[in-house]
Amino acid sequence: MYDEDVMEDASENSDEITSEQWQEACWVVISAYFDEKGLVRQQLDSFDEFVQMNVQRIVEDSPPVELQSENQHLGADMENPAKFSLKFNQIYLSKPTHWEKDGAPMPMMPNEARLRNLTYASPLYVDITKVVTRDESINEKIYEKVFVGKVPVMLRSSYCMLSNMTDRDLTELNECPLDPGGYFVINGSEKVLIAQEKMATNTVYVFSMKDGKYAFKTECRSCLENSSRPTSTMWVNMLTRGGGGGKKTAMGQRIIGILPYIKQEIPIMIVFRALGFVSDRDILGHIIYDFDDPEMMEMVKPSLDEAFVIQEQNVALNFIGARGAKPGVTREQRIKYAREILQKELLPHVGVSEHCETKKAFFIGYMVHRLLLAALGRRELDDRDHIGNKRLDLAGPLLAFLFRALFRNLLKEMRMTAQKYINKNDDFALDVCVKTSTITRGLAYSLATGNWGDQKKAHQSRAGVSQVLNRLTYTATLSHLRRANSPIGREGKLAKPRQLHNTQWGMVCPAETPEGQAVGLVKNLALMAYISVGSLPEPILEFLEEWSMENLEEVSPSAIADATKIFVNGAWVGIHREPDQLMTTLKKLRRQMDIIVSEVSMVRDIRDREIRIYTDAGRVCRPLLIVEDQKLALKKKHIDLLKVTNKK
Amino acid sequence: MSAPVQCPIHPEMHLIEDHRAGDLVCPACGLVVGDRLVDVGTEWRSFSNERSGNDPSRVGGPENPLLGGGDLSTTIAVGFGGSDSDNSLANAQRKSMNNSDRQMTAAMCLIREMSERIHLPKNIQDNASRIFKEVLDSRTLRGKNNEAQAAACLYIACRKDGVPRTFKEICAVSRVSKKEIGRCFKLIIRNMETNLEQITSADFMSRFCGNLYLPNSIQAAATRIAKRAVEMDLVAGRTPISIAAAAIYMASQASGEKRTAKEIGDVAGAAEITVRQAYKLLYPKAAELFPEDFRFITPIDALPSS
Repeated sequence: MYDEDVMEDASENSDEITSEQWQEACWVVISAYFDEKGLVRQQLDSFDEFVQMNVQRIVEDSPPVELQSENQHLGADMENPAKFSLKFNQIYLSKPTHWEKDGAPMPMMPNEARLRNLTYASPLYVDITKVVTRDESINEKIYEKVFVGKVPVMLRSSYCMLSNMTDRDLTELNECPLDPGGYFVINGSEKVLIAQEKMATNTVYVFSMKDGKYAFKTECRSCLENSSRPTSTMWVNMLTRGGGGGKKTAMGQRIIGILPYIKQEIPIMIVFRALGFVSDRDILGHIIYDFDDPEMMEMVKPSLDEAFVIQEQNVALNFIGARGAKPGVTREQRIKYAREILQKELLPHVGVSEHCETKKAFFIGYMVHRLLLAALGRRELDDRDHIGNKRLDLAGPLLAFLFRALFRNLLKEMRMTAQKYINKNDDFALDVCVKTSTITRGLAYSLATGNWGDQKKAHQSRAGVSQVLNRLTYTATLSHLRRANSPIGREGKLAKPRQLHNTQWGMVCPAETPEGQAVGLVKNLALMAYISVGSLPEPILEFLEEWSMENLEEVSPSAIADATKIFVNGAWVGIHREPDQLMTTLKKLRRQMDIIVSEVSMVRDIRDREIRIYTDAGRVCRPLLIVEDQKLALKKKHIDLLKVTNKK
Repeated sequence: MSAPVQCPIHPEMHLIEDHRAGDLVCPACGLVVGDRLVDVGTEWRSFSNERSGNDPSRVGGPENPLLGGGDLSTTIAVGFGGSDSDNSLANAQRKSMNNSDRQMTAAMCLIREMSERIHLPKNIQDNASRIFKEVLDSRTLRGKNNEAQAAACLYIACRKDGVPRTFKEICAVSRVSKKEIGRCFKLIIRNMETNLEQITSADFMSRFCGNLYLPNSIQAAATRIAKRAVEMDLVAGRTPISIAAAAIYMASQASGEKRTAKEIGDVAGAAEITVRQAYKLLYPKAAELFPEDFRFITPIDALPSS
């Protein structure tokens, strides 16, 4: 009884970590982190994600190969030519294998690959379904495990022979147990993929231009994830005052938009009209959510005046089509072309299907809104060097980019070969039509030379992505595996990319950067920094739907003024009226790892009333201590639990 | 050229080269025998850590002796970062390639494709290309299908290297029929007048057993069985493939890793019946065929009879 009281008192007061205990406690946490993750976790996770998710997705998303026999020289004209359709299904990746001269397959060890100048790669197999439609009879045949090429494997990843081996086994295989892995062996040399830094896609940035045609530039690099479509950028710019002479100065600063594939700039109101929102009031509702704001209304007036001439959707489409890359001859063609561009090339991340006009209009309206706020000084301009606005492409996304292009080539070659055989023999053997060297040599070439991209489209790709691993010192190796490169040309640029930025705290090492030409451009990741691997946004969208997020299409523009806008991966999905509650719930879910993976970023911008959720790959993040009510959420019992697991 | 320089006083002394002065010095008497030696080293230094794109010592890759005849003519190569005009020049030159070069390039591409599928090493691919070049030059197989020629060359290259592939295996990765390949093969052999070694069952043991995931002990046992069977002349008219398949069947059935005749037939490219028939010939003398130290999981008496 007496003991119980004492025990209760003790536990109430001393679950908190006092400042004397903090030294020991924090090192327990840090050791636990490195015991679990190791030092090159970002490389390994990225590659694992590539093999487990991306390859399958790329193979499945490719459209089925459709072929038809075209016997033009046969006398009898075939009414129903035999139709063939090939669909790629499940992929299989085995462990790295090497075939000796006599053809017997043996599991390949990395050190053997290093010594014999082999490529440490494993064969990739795909199930292919071939559907033959011949005179009303449909015949389906499944070819299992067709060999389509060899994929180089990153050492110590989950597909490497060395994963889950004890120190003793590793030593038997002549591998150092302390070697971190995270690199490839191509033709006997160890190659590292250096993380490539780029500006984040699908986000709206407002920059000011010092002297130029435009006072402010709002840009959005829109890119559809998991598609081979290149990034199409859209700008909404505001012209400088006093640009062209008397007439222009009187009008004020007009807002124009630069759309992809359209040669000239288009007044932004015309874009709205082309999307189907004709009346001034409609358009203003998409841009200015609060009509009681005289300053904003004044700023928009010049643009409205400019577009006064065009009052109809078709006229607007014609206007845009006329300034397109290939001006069609007839009006119909121009309108159709403009419609295509607006649907497929403009802001693809918002949607590429038929009825996305409302969403796109709202998004463009948001861009104009941001531009106006920046021009009025109510909201800060974006910083080009903010780490939050950057993404690092690691081994996974880089290989996925290559693999997508190579797989498309494979299908094209398969189509050509199969077509030849169909024309001759009216059928074709599938396994001989697959040209396996496409994928094998394509991936090996890029990894070996560092020229990222097709061998033939040389000038468009970048060099130096894959480098020979530095083995001068153990530290040199670790440093090389955690490097990030910014492909800015060696000339200076507008913002200051080489300078140490405040946001690099905890993410990028402030001290380690090379001397000379590349100072500040080549960065090294901080020790506990982790690069997100990418996850699906669908569960989060579903959750938000359930949690009374109002969809853009249903809501009336006036409601947007006070509510919080919610963005998922850059696309504006809706608004919410109780942002506090929503944010706490989202954070709670993430901490419990329920629905929301721990690598998802959720940012609440209270002043601008926005909640931004990101699930995309390439964000630099790090583990943080949770503090609630001025007290650490990390308690003694957590430390004790960690100590127990550490000891095991 | 005249006789190699030597010291007049010490003719058998090995002369030392002094690179700095460019002299040949006799170590015995110090006489400078030859002078004004031309330094054939590099003209300029290139540092290995300088990541400059072009190394001035390197002026291009190795020439392919099979194509283009090695007459040191100039080809337009488009490397990384080629502009449009470079590409169009290269295209123009590629279009005006002469016929035999075009055939040779196509054949090399075919051989590489086929080899990739059965994972043949580069030296066999190169040998096959070399054989094809010979065939092309001698114009023996003028009318035959290019693919059949390439496949036959690949077959010959495998055989010459001591790792023969069966015709069925080559046919599986090529788009022509076994008959075509066989015809081309016979013509090439007749023309080349080389002697190819006879194929034996042992050549295929490693591959077949590897594809059946049979351990080394069974592979060794099957090799021994096949060898002894041929020595004892039990399998008179059978092809080495069928003998090999039957030997593997026998060895696997006697061990813990049993394989059915169908599985073995699939891997070897033989029909199940063929395997069984050959096995029937081996069965009576099973006891003598097995190696002495073989561990019988299933004793000889319990072996299936067909």
